[in-house]
Amino acid sequence: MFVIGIDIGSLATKAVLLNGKREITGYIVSLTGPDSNKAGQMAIDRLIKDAGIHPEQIAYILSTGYGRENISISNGQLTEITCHARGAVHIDPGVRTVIDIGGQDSKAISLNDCGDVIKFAMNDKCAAGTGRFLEVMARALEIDLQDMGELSLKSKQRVEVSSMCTVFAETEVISLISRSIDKIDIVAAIHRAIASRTGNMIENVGVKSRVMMTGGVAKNIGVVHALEERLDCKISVPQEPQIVGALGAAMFAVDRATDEDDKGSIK
Amino acid sequence: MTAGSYVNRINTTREVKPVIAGWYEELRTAHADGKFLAWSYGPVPFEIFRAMDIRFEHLESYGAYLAARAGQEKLKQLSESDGYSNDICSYARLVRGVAMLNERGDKSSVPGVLLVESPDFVVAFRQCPLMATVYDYQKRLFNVPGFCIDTIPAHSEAEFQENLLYIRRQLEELIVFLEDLTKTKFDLDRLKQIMAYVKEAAIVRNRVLDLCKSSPAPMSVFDHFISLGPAHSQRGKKESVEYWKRLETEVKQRVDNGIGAIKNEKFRLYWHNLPIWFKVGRLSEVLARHGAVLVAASYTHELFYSHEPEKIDPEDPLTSIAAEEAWQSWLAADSLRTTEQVQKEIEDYSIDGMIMCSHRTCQPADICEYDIIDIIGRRLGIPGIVIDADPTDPAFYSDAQTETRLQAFIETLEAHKKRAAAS
Repeated sequence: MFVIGIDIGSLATKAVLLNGKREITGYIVSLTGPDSNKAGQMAIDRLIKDAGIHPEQIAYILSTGYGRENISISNGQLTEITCHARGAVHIDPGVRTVIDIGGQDSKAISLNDCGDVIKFAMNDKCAAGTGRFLEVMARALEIDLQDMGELSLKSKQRVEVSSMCTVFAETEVISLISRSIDKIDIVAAIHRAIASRTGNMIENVGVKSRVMMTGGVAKNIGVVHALEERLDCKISVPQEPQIVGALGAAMFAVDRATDEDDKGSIK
Repeated sequence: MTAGSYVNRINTTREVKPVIAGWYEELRTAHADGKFLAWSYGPVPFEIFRAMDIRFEHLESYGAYLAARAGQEKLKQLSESDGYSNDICSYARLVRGVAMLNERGDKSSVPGVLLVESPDFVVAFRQCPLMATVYDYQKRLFNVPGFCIDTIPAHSEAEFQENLLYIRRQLEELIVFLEDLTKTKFDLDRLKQIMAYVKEAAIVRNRVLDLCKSSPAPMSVFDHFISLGPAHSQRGKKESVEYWKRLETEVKQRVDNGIGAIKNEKFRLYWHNLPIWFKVGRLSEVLARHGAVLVAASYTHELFYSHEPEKIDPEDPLTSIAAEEAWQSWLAADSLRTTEQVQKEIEDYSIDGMIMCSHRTCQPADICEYDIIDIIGRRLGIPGIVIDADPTDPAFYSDAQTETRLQAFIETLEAHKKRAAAS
């Protein structure tokens, strides 16, 4: 028996294939594009093909993320809050705080000792401090998004990007470039701005160790370090932070397919 | 129940739409009918207007009416094009748009049902600073007389009593103001009759609210939101009493037959702050789909004479009106008093969680929401969630984000319930 958890985000679609022993058999990360149903279907088809199994062997597909209700072949859906929490606890049962920063939203999740969500907070409609924010800033700086994290660690001079609005922050960045401020220092300032905005939201739910960061932005070591500094705590990042929500969805899918409730949690 | 719907809507509320349509039609024909028309802001004494046969537009009710209707975006565009920031109260921006169209004599830019005539005078209750500013502005815009009732931000029973007397004195002055303006002698006996109906309707209404303590809840807060139409437009009229009695009969029948407001009630929730008027229908379905029903709310359960209506004395109507206004003022000013009220409703209605609505352009009520969640969480172990919205402006609202938060909150409640059952 196999199950699939699929997390359809605003920018990326992530899917995880688990076997009946809850072992990851495969996973995929692809761009969502304008049609989330199509993106989800394509990701699932690819996952099945790469694993060399037949679609009939898939006992349950559970969807999460903003596109969770748009995928027609899903058997059930849960929010990304619940799924990221479950995925994080599966990776590290000692996790008590999950920070997820994705393409267009960010969230902080507080867990109790059983791994249940006890409190969460999300960003408002503004995408400042999310992956999209970093994309805009990378474009303004004419650097690759993937390079921002490592670059920022080399920063020597502290400068500030104070605006929380993506548009105003971009203007601020352009202004700093025109003043010949080193791009490396600007990138570090951008990361601190994200940490400042997100840090307030995280503190709203309470920071309890251990803290794990998930979502695409967790791949940016500069943001992780800035958050560690802002929150004064160590943050762990799983090997593939983008698929944690899909992994959690897949865990719930096993529960539902086998009618188990190993976690005493929702189904 | 509509096919595919999870909501079992109360039938009596279907009477509301024509009542409201008739109400606004009267505001459009006030002058042709030889009546005075007031524009009002905040919890002003409608009963006195009614006793003097004055027709009255009320900013918050009008804003709610406009928010649910096509074409209202134009009104906000007008006010913003005139320099109003979109961070200003969205009720005020909508009504500002109406004022601008009236000023221009433009009756074609928006559907006619959205408009009301310009006022002969304006009246405000200084509970919200912005309302008092809008009042002042409109008074000058229309070049009409105005009367603003002041209020003291009470934080104790003694201050409440002091405020009650202060407001009562101002109501007497308001009556003199209205007598001078309309050249009509105030009829105290008529006000006594109106207050008798106010009292009777409020008592029946509270019985309806009490019936919703049953499980499954026979009526949701969304039905109550709709019923605020008659609670406002028919206040002090016999028709209002009759509406609430018909509603009571239907709700009681539901209780007797175990019929709920939604299919398969699993969670009972509390709603804090104003409704999101343009999402009432959608949100009722979203919550119902996840087995959640709103059973109590600050807006429906703490206002509209719901606080001790049996103490209303029709023989002393001004004191009773002042008491209601002082009560509203107390709740608005004192977040700890508000928290006590929330706790009472959570206990009375067996509530599992709180939805706190943070309205972008109506911030005064927002500040205490996180405090209420913390205090109630510590006292009762009941969790809460804050959602970002606006009473009338869709620009500050996202279906996907709000519905994700609500669904995640319900998932959290479900996990806790299962955990508690397992242990």
